[in-house]
Amino acid sequence: MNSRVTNLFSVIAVCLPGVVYISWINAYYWLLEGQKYEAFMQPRLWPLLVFAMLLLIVFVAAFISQFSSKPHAQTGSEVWIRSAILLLPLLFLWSIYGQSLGTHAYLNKTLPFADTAAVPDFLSSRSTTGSVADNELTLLRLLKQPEMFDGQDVMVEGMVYRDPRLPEDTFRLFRFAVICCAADALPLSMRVEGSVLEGLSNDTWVRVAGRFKMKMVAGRQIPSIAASAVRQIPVPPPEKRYLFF
Amino acid sequence: MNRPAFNSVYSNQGHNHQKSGRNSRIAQILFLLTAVSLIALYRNRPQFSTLGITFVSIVLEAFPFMLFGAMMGGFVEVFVSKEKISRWLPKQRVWSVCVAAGLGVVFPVCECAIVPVVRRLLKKKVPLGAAVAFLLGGPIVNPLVAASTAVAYYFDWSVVVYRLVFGYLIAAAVGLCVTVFFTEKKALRPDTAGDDSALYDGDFQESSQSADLKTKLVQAVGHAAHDFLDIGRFLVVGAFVAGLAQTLVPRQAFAVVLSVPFLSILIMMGLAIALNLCSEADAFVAASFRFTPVPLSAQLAFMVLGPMLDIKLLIMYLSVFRKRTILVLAGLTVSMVYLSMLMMEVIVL
Repeated sequence: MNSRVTNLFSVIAVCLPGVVYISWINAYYWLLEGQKYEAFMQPRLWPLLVFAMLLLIVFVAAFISQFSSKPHAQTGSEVWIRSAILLLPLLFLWSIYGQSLGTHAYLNKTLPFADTAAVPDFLSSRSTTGSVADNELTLLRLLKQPEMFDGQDVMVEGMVYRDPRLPEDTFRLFRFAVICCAADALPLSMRVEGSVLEGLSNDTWVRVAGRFKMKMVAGRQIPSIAASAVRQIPVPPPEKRYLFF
Repeated sequence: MNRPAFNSVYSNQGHNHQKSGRNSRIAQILFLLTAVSLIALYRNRPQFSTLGITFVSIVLEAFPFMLFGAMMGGFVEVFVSKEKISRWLPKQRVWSVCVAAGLGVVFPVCECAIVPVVRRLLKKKVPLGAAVAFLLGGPIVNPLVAASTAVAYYFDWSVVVYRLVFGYLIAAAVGLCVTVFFTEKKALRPDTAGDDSALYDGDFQESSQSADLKTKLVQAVGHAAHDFLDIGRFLVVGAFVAGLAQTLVPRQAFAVVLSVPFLSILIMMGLAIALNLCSEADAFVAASFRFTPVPLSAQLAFMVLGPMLDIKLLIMYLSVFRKRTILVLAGLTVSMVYLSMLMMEVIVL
């Protein structure tokens, strides 16, 4: 009985590299289907995922072709641990899909002088994509060309951060802009003043309509919106929550 | 018989390495248990979202490059002989280091792809100093990084030149120092320093001489697959630690000292190590500090150090070097980046 169990474990251990490759191929396919990868990385990088999937398919082919000639295949604990570590990101992927960076990440990634200072000039040199209707603006576009929209009525979507240092009727509207992947996401934010919904809590998605202006506060130009309406909106699907450079 | 490359390296670990192997297994099991416990206990916490998304994003973005690097390494292993490499590289060690530090210009690879390639080159007996110079210089001194830096800094070419020149000089200097301080045997893990034919594939060396193209291709893919399995786990662990760092360390903690050059250089170097950004993306993050009190020298320190040394790379280096070598390598690189940026701040800017 014991030897049968040992044999079974040995057979499974020999197959584990194949399991790792196939699981990752599956994950890449799942991410590419319906563009779910946009919940984690820049849409323009989709060829990378296809490329990785193709390489893994080649690995599977080689694994199968060499399967019968493996007298010394590793079957010890090392192969189990190694495979488990390689499968760990997939466990996180399926646990985390649906969640997104929120106030915690916003506060962690923001520098006190960076969130109110002028927008870095590389923003103005790059086209952007986002998930808004045609008559709306993204935070990124607004911050890219603030002088163009200064004094104009605008409508923009984002998440709420109730900064305790700000007055009661003011909050920060923020979103993340991704360069390559969510690890490099830069927080973009602006003040929204007036017409704040009661009970508006952190991380709520809202659409803000109002007049955009650059205000001078403590010697710095700070982008802000004098809101005429703030409406809670449904949380966008995970792949539509970030803006992309 | 042509035996594939998937399997046998671990079974050949010597008796002397059994203890460190056991410790390594315990550390890996603890890592797995910690990670799975976090999912089970903190899945609905905002901190978990930051950790999980950062971790998964880094792995998703880095894996294709690592797979590419593993494939390149596999092809180097099978199609490039030691004789060819020794013919291509200059005979003098100093010159081989100088050439290797700039090889990224013709062989542009990012930091995730370069580790498996360098591991293969070391197995092919490329001199240690040259391999280290390529490892550190390749992800910076290359046209893709130059282009992304130029775009990020709105075609301010001086920033591009500073980044590439400092990247090259520091990579070459560290490569030369490593040549002086270490022998291959003392610096490398046994399975990297050892003779491949004995350690890795058994009868590969003699079989590869006469193998046909199809067999060689299968062997190359076999090597690549093995490298992916072996180095991939270091990448996963590194990405996880990077995710933890991004989750637990708020950047505001550094804000007070960022305007003081000699401190801000240090802080930006710390950020480069903690953030684990791709060398093609880090310039955009550095450029976001452009209109802040953070001086250009500190922004450059971020862009020069990041592709050479971050948490994920440090852990990936464990697949190639001994721990002591990594400590010396890290110490040398950090000191050189810091001192050169400090000098730049004082003399040039």
